[in-house]
Amino acid sequence: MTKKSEPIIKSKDEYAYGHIIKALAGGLYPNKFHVIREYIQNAFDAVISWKATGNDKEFSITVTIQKPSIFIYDNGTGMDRHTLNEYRKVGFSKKVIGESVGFRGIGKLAGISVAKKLIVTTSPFGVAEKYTLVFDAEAMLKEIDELKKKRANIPLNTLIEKHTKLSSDAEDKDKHYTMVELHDIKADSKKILFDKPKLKDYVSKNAPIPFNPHFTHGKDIEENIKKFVPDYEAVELSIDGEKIYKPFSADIKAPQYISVPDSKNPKRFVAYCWYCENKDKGQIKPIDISGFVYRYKNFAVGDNYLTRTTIWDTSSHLSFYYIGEIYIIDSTIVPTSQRDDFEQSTTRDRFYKDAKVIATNLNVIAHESSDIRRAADYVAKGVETISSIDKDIKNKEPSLKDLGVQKIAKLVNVIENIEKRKKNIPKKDKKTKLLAERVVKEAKKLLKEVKDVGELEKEEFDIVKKLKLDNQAEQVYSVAVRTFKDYFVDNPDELESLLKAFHQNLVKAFPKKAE
Amino acid sequence: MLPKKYATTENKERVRDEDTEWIKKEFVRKKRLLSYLGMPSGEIRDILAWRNYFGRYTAVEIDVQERNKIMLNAITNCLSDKIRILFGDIEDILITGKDKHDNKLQFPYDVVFLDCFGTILYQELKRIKAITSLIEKQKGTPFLLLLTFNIRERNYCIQSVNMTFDKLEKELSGFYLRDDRKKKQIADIIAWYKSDKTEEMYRQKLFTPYFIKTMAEERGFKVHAYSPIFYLGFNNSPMIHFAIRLTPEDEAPTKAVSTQTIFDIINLNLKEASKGKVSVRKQQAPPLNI
Repeated sequence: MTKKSEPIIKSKDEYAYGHIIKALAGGLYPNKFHVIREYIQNAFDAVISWKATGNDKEFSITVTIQKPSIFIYDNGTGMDRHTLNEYRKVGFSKKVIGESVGFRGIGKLAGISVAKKLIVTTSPFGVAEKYTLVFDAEAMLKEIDELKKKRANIPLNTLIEKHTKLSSDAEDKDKHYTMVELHDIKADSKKILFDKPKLKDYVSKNAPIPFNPHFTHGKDIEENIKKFVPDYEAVELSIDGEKIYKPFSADIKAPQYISVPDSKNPKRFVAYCWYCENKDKGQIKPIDISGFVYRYKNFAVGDNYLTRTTIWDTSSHLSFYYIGEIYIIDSTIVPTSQRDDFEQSTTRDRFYKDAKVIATNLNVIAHESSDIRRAADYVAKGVETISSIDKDIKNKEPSLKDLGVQKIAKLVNVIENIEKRKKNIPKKDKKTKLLAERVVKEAKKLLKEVKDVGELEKEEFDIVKKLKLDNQAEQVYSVAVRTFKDYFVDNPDELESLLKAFHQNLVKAFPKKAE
Repeated sequence: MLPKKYATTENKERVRDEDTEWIKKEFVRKKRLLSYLGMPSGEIRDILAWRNYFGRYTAVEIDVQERNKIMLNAITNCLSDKIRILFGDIEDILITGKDKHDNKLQFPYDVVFLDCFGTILYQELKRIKAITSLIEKQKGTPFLLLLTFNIRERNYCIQSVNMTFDKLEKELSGFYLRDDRKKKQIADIIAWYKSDKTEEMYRQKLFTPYFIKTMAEERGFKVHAYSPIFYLGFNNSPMIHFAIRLTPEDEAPTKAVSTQTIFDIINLNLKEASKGKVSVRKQQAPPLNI
């Protein structure tokens, strides 16, 4: 007979002790706002479950800040007594990976890291009762600390049973909701969590909420996402009565879409991306709303730098030339509990590789846009230069004689730049193409005229002759012009303005001679 | 089941109906949504009953679970953006103007409803100090003050009440210095109010409005008290409810003069909410017929 092996832990032993609570309270969440996100996540799951039953049409999540508490309410399924009782079980969850946003059974107790008490009140539809669970974290932590001084440990079950209380009360049987109160926010979390503008900003960037009704492309984007992202859902959310929406920029082009195929099975898509390019040049401002964010069940995973570092190999700054989202379709790609990245796996690594198609396409587009924009800029600049020189010629501006070389250089530049880049102007932009031709033609004509001013020594441009200055005055004039040129050698525009002012004053000083 | 201490009764509902009439008048008078400061408890029945007349609410609650219920009911009734809950003792909050979490009262209010255990003299000076502070902070704003006291136990210093009644007697007698018959009648009535045999509801019927009148007039408010209502609350607790309107007198740098005199206050009928209606109570305090 073989001898039975001894169990490592005897059945009567406890498997978990109170310090787990201390670890939870101590900070699984370096960013305190993540705690609020955890409850929004649970609220979202509850609302989506309720929506699936097809009963109600209005779903919402309400966050209310009333010092010293934060309340997170949803009109989702609610919980029955048994389910609420399971709320006390640490790391216990019946949610399925891929079906719900949360599934670890840890986030529900996130509140104890920022609040002294956790009060959960819930009522399921069809039951004329509501249930309240009070989780007295402060009392738990106090007991753990006191016992520790005596080198004692308290089993987790005993601790939780002692400091949690489940009660019931009458409720309208048609009501269904859950409200979590993070009661008495701890001193080290107050400053952050009671900062309403920052909380609103965080929620707007991270929660699965709708696009802003003022975002012109929001409706189109949402319709497209719904077609390609099977589990896409957005829930109305308000903070202190103000509806919160995803951030957007007004100065962007119409949305475009990219589907990311799975390299292992190209018939299958692992992600779906929408993006809008900046209408103006450069990165979209403010930077914190530019770029791309991964979305898992419409919750943000990481920030706009995660996409930049994971799928952009080159010119990563170009990602901020866009605003967009990348929705994960493959449910085996799972976010970390911190939601700052996806859990490391071969699927994730393959996804990051596959998603590089987004960066490759967008970099090409950004470069093309940049070329187009640059060509258009040169045309616009050319228009400005030729108008100014043309005006000087018409006005017989004496500075043309002194600054002829600079003017010639300017006109040559205009011609060269436009000739070189006009191929970048899209064919459909006939207006700019035509303008470019005209600018070049006009610049060439002016180039000849400016050259003539110098070469033919045209009298009408010669202030000395115009004012009939004597030799001495002519010498003084020459010295002055030379001095100005030396002094403003690096600033031709200033020099031109100064010379023009100088000439005007000379005409005023010698009016008779000028006549 | 509702928690027993906050359960409503039919009598309480009838008293609320009476208050609704005063609130409607306030609403018509001011031609805008009103502001409320009170202690509605978790079920927020007052707030829900009067929601058509109010635009903002400040609720004061000291109990964690009741506060939680206030918020839950506010959210489920779409009032969460209109309600602010101050967490703590009402007297402390009225005195300091804020709770210990720095949530501030938003003066002025149009209706202030203090539903308290004990009378105005409960905890001696603290409640008086709180009501004084409230009246001072309401300066310049007409408002309706609703007070409900549980008078099951006489939990105040009787000497303080008697001193106030003595002051009242002196004040009344001052009108009839040369008329001993009238002075005697006044003395008899005051003695009746001071008597141990007199039921508490009658004593409070005079004491509370007189006290508020004296205090508010000194702070520039004219005072008009409506007939108090006695009723039996939950567990047959004897309750007395007051509705008092305070109106700032523009040209009263020191003391305001109310149209309602002390004689009118003494002769206010005591009403009773019972068996689904509010009516004048059969037994009344002796009138002052001079």
